[in-house]
Amino acid sequence: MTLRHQLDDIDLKILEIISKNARIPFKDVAAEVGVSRAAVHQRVNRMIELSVIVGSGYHIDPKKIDYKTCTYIGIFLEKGSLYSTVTEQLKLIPEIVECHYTTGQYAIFAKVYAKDNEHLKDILSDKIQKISGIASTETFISLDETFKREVPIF
Amino acid sequence: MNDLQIEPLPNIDELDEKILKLITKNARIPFLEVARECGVSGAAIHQRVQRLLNLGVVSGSEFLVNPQKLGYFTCAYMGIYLEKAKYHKQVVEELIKIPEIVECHYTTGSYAIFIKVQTKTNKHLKKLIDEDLQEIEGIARTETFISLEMEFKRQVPIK
Repeated sequence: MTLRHQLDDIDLKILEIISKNARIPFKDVAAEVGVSRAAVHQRVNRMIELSVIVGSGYHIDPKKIDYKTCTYIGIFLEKGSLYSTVTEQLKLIPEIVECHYTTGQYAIFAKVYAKDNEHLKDILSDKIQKISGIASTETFISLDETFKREVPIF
Repeated sequence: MNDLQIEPLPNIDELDEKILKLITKNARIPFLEVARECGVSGAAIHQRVQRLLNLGVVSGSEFLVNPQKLGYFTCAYMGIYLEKAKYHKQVVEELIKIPEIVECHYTTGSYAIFIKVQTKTNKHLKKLIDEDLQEIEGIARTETFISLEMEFKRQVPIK
């Protein structure tokens, strides 16, 4: 069920501002949206309760902390029923930052950050391909992340 | 892409790593609390965070939005084939205009471009493919993988 209809324009405006800068003083948000500071607090808390907002954080540029290789990996399973055991194992590999259950030729689709190609090879051969249930993998290295952004709020 | 020089990695010590671990999980954490946990002064945290921002190690902060609660129920990955490789730049310029495309990569392997798309429904996705993507000059065809479930999503490990 979408909660969108429970959010009004003021909620969405607040969301648009704080999804771009989490440390902005709520006083400034209030001024921009045209409500009181208490109202901003209340609305943010409500959106957290409704889990429209699932957290906050500073975003790291992986390249700057030595993760230079970004890769998408399509995973084929021996049997479809192995999905949940395999994902549990994948979750234990910290370099896998995203994992999806997809339609199309692959059963699982994952995004991996590695320090370099050698590190990627280690992750693939020593970690991912050792998981029982995985038949084979296909790797797409991203040579350039052209852009990355959030979903449009309005 | 055109910058072939390898950038030197910024110097990040253990204190930086500790700070990063805390502020990447909660952007509104009071810096005094970070200071207490790291055993340094609040001013030192301010300075360190500013330095990390200046170095581009962190590019900003955000509240994380749950796309589903905003009505975006369909998440899909799409591989794009180009008619000719040289169309890459002009195609990307058109892709960036479509707000539902949240990520775009230049990849090795069978596809020239790889994108992540968030749409409200499957019908919305179909419309986006039909009316927006296929209209872009230079795109030969596309392959779509719909994500039925996102198992997890997180940031890179900070050791």
